[in-house]
Parts: sequence; C-alpha cells; structure tokens
Amino acid sequence: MANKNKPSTLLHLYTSGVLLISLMLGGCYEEQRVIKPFVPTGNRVVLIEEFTGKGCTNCPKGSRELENLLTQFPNNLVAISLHAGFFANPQFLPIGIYDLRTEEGEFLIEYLSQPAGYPSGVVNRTPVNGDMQISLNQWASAITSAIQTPPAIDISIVRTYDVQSRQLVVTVSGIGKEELSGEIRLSIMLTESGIIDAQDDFEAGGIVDDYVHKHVLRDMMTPVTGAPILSSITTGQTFSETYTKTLDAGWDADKMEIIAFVSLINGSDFPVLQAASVHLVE
Amino acid sequence: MSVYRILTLVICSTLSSLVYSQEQLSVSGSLDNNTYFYIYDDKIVPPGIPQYERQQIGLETWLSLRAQIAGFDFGMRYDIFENSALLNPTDSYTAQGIGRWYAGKKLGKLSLLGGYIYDQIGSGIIFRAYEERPLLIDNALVGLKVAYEISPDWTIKGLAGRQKNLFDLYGSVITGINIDGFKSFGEEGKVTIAPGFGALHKTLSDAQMDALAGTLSQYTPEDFIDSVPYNTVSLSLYNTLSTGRFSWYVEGAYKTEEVINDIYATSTLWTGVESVGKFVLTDGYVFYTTLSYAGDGLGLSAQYKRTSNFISRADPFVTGNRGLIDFLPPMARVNTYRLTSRYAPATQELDEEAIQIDARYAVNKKLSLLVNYSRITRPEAAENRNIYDEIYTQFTLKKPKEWTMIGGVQYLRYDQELYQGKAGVPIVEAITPYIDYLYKFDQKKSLRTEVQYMSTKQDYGSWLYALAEFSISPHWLFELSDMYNIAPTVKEDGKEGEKLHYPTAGVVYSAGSTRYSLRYVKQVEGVVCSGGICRLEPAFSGVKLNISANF
Repeated sequence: MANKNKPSTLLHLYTSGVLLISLMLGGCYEEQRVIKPFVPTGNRVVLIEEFTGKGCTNCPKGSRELENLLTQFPNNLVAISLHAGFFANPQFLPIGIYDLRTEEGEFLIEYLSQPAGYPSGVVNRTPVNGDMQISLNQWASAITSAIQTPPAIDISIVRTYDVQSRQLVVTVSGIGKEELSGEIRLSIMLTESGIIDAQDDFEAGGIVDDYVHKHVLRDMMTPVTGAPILSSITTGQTFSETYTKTLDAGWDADKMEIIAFVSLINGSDFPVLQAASVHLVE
Repeated sequence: MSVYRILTLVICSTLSSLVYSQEQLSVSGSLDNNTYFYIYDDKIVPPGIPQYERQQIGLETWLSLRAQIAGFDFGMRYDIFENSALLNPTDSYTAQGIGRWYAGKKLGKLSLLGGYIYDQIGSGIIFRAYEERPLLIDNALVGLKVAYEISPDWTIKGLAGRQKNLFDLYGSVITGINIDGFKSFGEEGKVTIAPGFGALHKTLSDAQMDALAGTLSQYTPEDFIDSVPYNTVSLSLYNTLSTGRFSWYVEGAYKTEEVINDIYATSTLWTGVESVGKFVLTDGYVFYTTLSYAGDGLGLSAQYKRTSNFISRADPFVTGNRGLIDFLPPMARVNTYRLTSRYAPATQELDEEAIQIDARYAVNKKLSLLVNYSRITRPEAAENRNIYDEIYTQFTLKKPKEWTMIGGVQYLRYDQELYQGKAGVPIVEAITPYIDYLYKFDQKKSLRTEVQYMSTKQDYGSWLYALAEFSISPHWLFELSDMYNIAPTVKEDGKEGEKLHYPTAGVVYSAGSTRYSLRYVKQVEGVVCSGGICRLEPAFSGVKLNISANF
C-alpha cells in the first residue's frame, strides 16, 4: 500500500506546484506600469523644506537632489534648507566656521517631526503614508503629485529693499480660488545661497572646506508657524499683508530669496496651499 | 463596531462555548517590559534628543496572552511604546495598541491560522516574517496561513496577506507557497534528504505604484525606466543532504525583475551633476550553502553565500530595517562579548560574497578549542571590495564544578565607511584578546569576571573592558563593569580624544520564570545587530529597568 501511495503523493505535489507557480508567474510579466516623463502645467508652486546639517555626511546628496528638482520645476517649486537638529549642532559636530541654525529651524524640526534619517524633507507640510518627513527618493514623487492639484489660493510677492538702510518691505497678496474654512496662515521666510563653509560630504569623501550652501533659512518675517490672516476664504476674496525687516549685516542680500506660503490650519493638519518666491534684490 | 471589538467578541464567545463543552482550557502569557530613565551626560549623549531634553522616561512593553482549547489556538499581544527610541534613536516614538492577534485550528491534516503570522520559507531567503524587538523588527504577515500534511514526510503550506507596518499595514499584497519534504535512503535510512521549494508573489498597491512612478518620471534619460512590473515573484529551491556525520544544505533563490533602491548606482541629475543612488529595474539571486561535519569531538562547518540585487521589501521606498520580506543569513560569527561584538557586519542585499569556516575540537573533557574565520566581499564594487575579515579563536578550559575559563583573541578588519555610512573614515583593524573566568564558591555562589582589550588605531581608539558578576543562585545576580577608551585616536585637529569611562552597575532578581533587572548604564555609541540586520545605536546614559515574565 505504501508503494502505491508514493507516486500519488509526488503527483499531487508536482501538479499543485506547477499549478501554483503557473498562476504566480502567469501574471508576472503582463502587468506593467508605463512610466512617462512628467512635465508640469499650471501654476501650483510646491514648498519643500529640507532638514540638513554640516555634520550630516549624506545631506549634500539631498542638496544636489534639491537643485535637480529646482532645475526640473523652475516655476513650480521653492526650496528651503533648514540647518537644525543633531547634525547641525556645532557643539557636538564642530565643522566649519558658521552656525547655520536658526531658532525657527530648531522649532520647525520638532513641529514637523524629527526625521528618521537624513537627508529628509517635508513637501507642502503634507504627510506621505503617515510620515511628514520623507526620504530623498520620495521627494520627486510627492512634488509631482502636489503639482497636479491647482492651488486653492494664489499668492504673489512684492518687495522693496533699501540698500543703505538694509530695510526690506515685503507685501504678499492673495486671492481665493475656492472656498475654504479654517484658519489661513501666512509664512514668509528669508533664505540665502552661496554661503561658503565646510560640510561633511560622503560622496566627496569627507569634509569639504569650501562647500557652497544654498537656500539656507536665515530668518522669518512672520511668526514661526505663520501669521493668522483669515479664518476662512471664498472664491475671489483677496488679502494683502505687509511686513518689514532690517537685514542682518552678515547676510548677502544679492544672494537672498523671499519665500512666502499660505497654510490651512485644520486641527493637527497644516498643509501648504500655495507658495511663491522672488529674489530679494531685483 | 471596530474590527478588534468584533474579534474580541468572536474569541470570547468561542472560548466560552468551548469552556462549557468541558474541554480543558489552557491559558498562558508573557510580559516583556523595558523602562528607561534618561540622565543627560553632555560628554557622551548628543544634544537634541527629546528623551534627555524633556521626557526623562521611556518604555516599551509587550504583553502576550495565549489560549488553547479543543484544537483551537488564540493569541493576542498588546504593544506599548512611550517615548521610545526604538523606531528612531534620535527621536521619540509613542503609540500603543494590539500588536498581534491570531486564531488557529487544526482539522486533521489541515491547519488554519489567521491573523498576524510569523513564519518562513526555507532558511528565510525569500520570506521570513519574524520579530526582533531590540531592533523594532516586527514584519508579521497579516493574513491567512493554510498548511496541509500530504503525508507524514511532506507538507504544503500557503500564505497570503499584507505585511505589518508598526500598527498599520503596507500596501503590497504577498502570497506564497512552500513545500517541505523528507526522504531516507539506504539501509536504516543512513542517507536522508530534506528538499523544499518555495515561491512568493508580491503585488504593489496602486498607491505604491503611483508614488514610484512619480519619482521615476523625474529621472533623466540616462536613468529612465520605461515600465515597471506590478508583480514580483521570488523562487527558492533548497535541500539538506545528511549522510553519517556529514550534512550539506544548499539553497538557490531567484527574484524576477522589480524596481529596487540601489544605493551604489550612479545617477545623472538634470543639473548635469552625478550622484550616487537611484532606483533600478533588475532581477536578483542568492546562492547559499553550508557543509558540516560532526564526530569524535571534532566539529567543522563551511558556509558560502553569494547575493546579487536581492532587495525584497513590502514598499520600494522603505530602507533600513523597515518592510523586510527576505532574510539573508549572516555570514560572520555572532559574538557575545562586549568588545568582540563591537564591529558587527550588516548583511549586504545588493552585492555580497562571503565565506565562513568554523572548526571546534574537544581535546578532552576539560579542554576544547574553536577557530572561526569569515570573509565578506563586494565583488561588483569598483573599489574597497574586501569589507570584512575576522579570525576568532577561543579555548574553553574547565575544572568541573569548580571553575571554567574561556579565552581567546579576535582579529577583525571592518569597513566602517560602508557599514556605518561615515564618510572618509578608515577601515577599522582591531585585535581583541579576551578572558572570561567563572569560579564557583559552592553550589549557589559564583563569580564571573571578564577582561577584554581592543587594540585599534581607528574610530574611538583602543578600549579596555572589565566585568564582575556575582551570582547567588537561584535569585540574585550583581553586575559591575566598565568600558574605558584607554588609548583614544588623535582627531583631525591633532588633539587626542577624551578618555571616558562607560560604567554599568546592575542587579538582577529572578523568581521562577519572572526576571527583574535594574541597571545603571553608560553606553558608548555602537552597532546593534541581530541576524545580520544592524543599526547604529547612539550612546545611552541612564537607568534601565527590565521585567520579563512567563505565566
């Protein structure tokens, strides 16, 4: 009896194995997603806030990716590099001359959640699969997704800068493109590029003394979580807010940018609705 | 009504009906709790860590309950993470909820298990769902497992579900099949084989594919991928041949094309700059074999493994210890002493070739010897191909019932830049002699001492470690140790690193199957590994309380 059962067992095994593998492999090569290059249309401007530090050896890779994305989306993306957290702390990682941290950056790294690893970025202050901080290889995906949604509010920046007094006056105007309920806040950030200071760079083999830092957050003209400007907005409703600041003597105004964005505060969510940027000096 | 409430209701009603049916109910459980009291020390702890800055206390707890009755098997585990550093060593993770539940039943030759499933196919190369709490790995498959006993020696099982992601699930769907068998040949079955076959199928969710397509759509023409498969199949064929004193295990695994994150691939950006790391579309394979001999006091084993592009994750974007579907066997010795385990190599999924040879010989009942050699390379790398070498020797000398002495020397060569991602750091070369002496005063009292010295000119420099453990069986154990960087390396500014002590003092009390441990700990930054999965652990300063119990 035992001998009679053996071929039957093996036959069952063979048949079931072949059937299941055929089922698994059958669909394997059929279902493909065709990838097409994405060319943005429309006027949505997306904000990316990159968290970085001079002691973070992988962060220059993030910086290169930011430039890559800015090259690809020149009219639809604005970028800010926030030196904050452990890797930006000169007390623990004394690299280079300048301390590029700001009080606002240190606050925002907590407000937007600590990154699980670096480089890390936040796109439009909107979580991706539950994570506010996302890794470098997710940035492009989050940005292309966000660009495809038309802005609920459109904003523009007008600025005047007095070279002698170093006084900067910024007016941000906006218009509602749809009806929204919830507090709307305006944030204005000042960034500086072309800062030469040391940076740990894994791809360059270690510390690079003359590394060029770009889009570094220098200060904010509004409160760190944004200035409340409206409690709701309707289609066609406009607003205009003006802020003034005297620039720090150490900043190079020619290499600075003004970045403004509006957020909708809804409980613990605070997505960015639209962003805009202009060079500080024309 | 939530899924959990429905489930609880179903389990309770089933249990109560079964209890009334006069079947014997067996209930068991376990508790595992780690509580940390953080004490900031600016010399060893980086700034900005919330536990030290403001939270002061953190904990992790796993409470499991299991009930068995009339062939049914039910289980549930409640997980608590409060200000925990397990998820992100520089941040705090707080969440709690049901971390696992399952319900199973054996119906003759058919076994059914639904819920959170831990299982593996073969050695785990194409699929291993397991839990490793110190690394916060809990990649249970949430779904259904069906196993059928075709004959006493042949079993077939099928799996289907989605992988657990903390208290959520990954989007991809996983299905698998595994056939395991056994056959003996020759007189009295002197030759046996234990063949097996496994296949695993993964389908990316639409959301995962959208995200992947979003990233790939931005690639330059040099890196562009035209189309991406939704489905990936991993196949594994393995066998253990045993004859007399020899045993030979061999496994080959192949994975069809999928998009994986190749951290070594050169990418071209739109700015014209080249960078490193991008998604690539490729297949992958693993070949793994181990040959062993045991007899006449001699134990020999040799292992070989070759891995190429075998990254298998539940989500293409996750990295580190997250979303692992496969488990690639580690090819270096798992060391347990503090300094000999300081530089442990993490398994390389993209490109790794490794051998390990282990020889043990019991000279007599009092003396035994061990030599272990492992070498790990990256054959496809343009430079720095040899990433890990280790020679580990050990002798064990015993005077039964009185004392045991274990000693030896370890030599290792460790590519710290690759394994820990520290740019420009040199390869660590270290020689570590160690001695462990256990003296039994009587049947209850014993003293164990360890002295280790790691001599190296790289990383933090040389270390001296000493430990004394006094135990009063069966309840008490008192521990005192110190790790001291006796000869720090000279930093780039020409200054010698600071010589620091990392002391530990602790007491352990055991009562039956319950164990309480209270330890004051200062711990240097290092790599924590388990089964070849590693992560960089920051320094710790504070008090650790552990309670573990089985009931």
